[in-house]
Amino acid sequence: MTDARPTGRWRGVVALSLFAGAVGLLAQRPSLLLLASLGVGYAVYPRLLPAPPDPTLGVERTVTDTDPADGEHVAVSLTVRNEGDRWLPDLRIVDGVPPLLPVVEGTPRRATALGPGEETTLEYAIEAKEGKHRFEATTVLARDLGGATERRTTLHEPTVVDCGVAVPTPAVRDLTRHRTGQRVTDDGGSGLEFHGMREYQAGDPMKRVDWRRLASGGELTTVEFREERAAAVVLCVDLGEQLATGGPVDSGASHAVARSVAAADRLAVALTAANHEVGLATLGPAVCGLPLGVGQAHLTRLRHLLDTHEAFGPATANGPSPPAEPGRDGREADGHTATASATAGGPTATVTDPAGGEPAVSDGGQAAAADGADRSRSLAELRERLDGTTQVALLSPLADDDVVDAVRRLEVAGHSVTVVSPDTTTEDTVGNRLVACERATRIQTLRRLGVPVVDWASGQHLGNALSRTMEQYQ
Amino acid sequence: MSATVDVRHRPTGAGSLLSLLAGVTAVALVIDGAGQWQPLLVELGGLGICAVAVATWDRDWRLGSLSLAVAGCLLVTVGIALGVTSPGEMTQRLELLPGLFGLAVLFAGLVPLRSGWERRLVTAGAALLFLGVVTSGVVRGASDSRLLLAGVATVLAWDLGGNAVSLGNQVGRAAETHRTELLHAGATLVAGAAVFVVALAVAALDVQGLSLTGFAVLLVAGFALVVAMRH
Repeated sequence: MTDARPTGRWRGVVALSLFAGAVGLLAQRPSLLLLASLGVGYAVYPRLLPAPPDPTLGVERTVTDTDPADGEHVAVSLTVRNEGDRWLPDLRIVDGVPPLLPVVEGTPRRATALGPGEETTLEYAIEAKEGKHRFEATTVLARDLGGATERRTTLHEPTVVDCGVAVPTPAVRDLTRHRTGQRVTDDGGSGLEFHGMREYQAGDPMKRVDWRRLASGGELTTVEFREERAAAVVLCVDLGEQLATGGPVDSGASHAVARSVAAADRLAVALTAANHEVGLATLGPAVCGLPLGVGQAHLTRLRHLLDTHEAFGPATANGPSPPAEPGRDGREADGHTATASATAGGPTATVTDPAGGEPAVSDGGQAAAADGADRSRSLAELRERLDGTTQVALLSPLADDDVVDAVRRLEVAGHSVTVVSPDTTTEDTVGNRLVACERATRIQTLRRLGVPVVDWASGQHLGNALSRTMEQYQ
Repeated sequence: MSATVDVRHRPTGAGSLLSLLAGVTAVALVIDGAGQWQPLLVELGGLGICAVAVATWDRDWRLGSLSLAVAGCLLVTVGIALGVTSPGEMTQRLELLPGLFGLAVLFAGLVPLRSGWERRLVTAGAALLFLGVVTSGVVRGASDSRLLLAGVATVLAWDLGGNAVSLGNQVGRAAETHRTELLHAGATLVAGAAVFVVALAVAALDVQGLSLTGFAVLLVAGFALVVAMRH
């Protein structure tokens, strides 16, 4: 809620009076002086109107499908109700469509007048794209009858469109903890799968003694099974460096975050289903974390964080993108929204890096330095939180060398790292091809270190990409 | 990528239409003879054809729209040329021509001819319309009440045009806006009617008896009132 802001749109009307009055005096025409009174009347008119009340509005948004398939059209309907007891003669509503999802039918905007208790419903359709996409706040501008004052309000109705499919296999590398789980290890012990035989030692359980062998040869041996243990995995989402640069809307970078968050969600579900411990962390300017935990309640908490925490919002990925920010009345400076809508189709950045927004190629210097500081700080925080054998599943577009560095440092500290990298590079320009090439090099570097890197191409099934890569490391 | 509906930040259709109607009324109120009506009607025909061209522009019928637009512009030019030649007296030309130019400029602002110039063109168009009204007052072309009504129509054209531009910027041409625009137009019209009645009442009191200086002082007092209300 903000204060009433004068739009100044009636200011010019006094000029009519002055002009008509001056001409009337010069030409000695009383009728023109009468005409001049018109300007005075219209200058007074907006003053006589009651100021627009702080609108009391109720908002409700429904989407036909909260987990659509890639490319599917999702119908959205937004209902705004005037819950106050005064007329709102001029209400301009702009819904906060997720920046990456293009509107394909209808328009998410409307101007209307609402009496007390009346409501209006906007209906439009968006095209789903892979990733977790959050609706931003709905912006409402309320003007008085003459349009002389304006109030700006935002209405929050959290809605998340989650596009993608479930993942059957979790991204886990070696065994870690001594807690029973689904991860089959190479250590002998109790379990289901046969591992080997060894000489009996005092204290071995009676049921694992190979009685048949004892009966035939007289040797006392113990059967060993492959131990099944649970891993502890921290899902770490790379948010890039967008807060540091504060550059223009970079749909590639925010797309990477949207897909990373969706992947984190899927991995968390798969890990919890397999009874592994899951935690959450971020790498980048915004901090969000959840300690390790197991069970459905923990999973719900984690998914709630992914859905609602501001660190994963589009605002982090590309700086706040205010819808229809009005400047002076005539020159409402909302080209920003227009740009967002226009480029929402996908990573079409020509200058900035579509994979993570690092302008290192052209004008790296300061931005990269600031980013580096952010990264190393959050990496240090992450390492403090991790204990000895915790694994890290890093979700990163691999847009810069700092990430490779971070992985290297984590590996050195003894944490197994698995990288899931949504590919947001394109091949349309020379710059973008170079970016794609650099990313491929980073993947090679990481694989040479023995780190599994799941190269998740756009439109590809994450589960397939994951199982194909993880097979090589089983 | 599939076709996306982009938000077009152009003045809204309903508001633009109302604004132009008010503009035409302002011109029509200050003219009388057939020699003045003919150019106005020709120009209106041209503007109508241009409007059709604008409406069909986005429907993949570029060549047709373009030829329509050229024909419309030609007709508007013919109308203005007629405005120079057709009226019998010089004073009639003087009160008609600013109005004709004003309508064309107003239309150009609402199309808009150039993005970012909408408000400037709308203001310029309304100023030209008002120039026509004032000229008519100077040459004693129209009665007091018609002059006042033409003034109200000019303000209406300017206000509705500006509102259409601001709505276009904030919600776009594709959005549904007619409800608030009609309400806004109604309010401005009612305000204009009130001013009209008050002004005529003042005039009816005894304008002849009041000297021009006295009238001017009254006007200055009105300004003082406005300034006082502003603070």
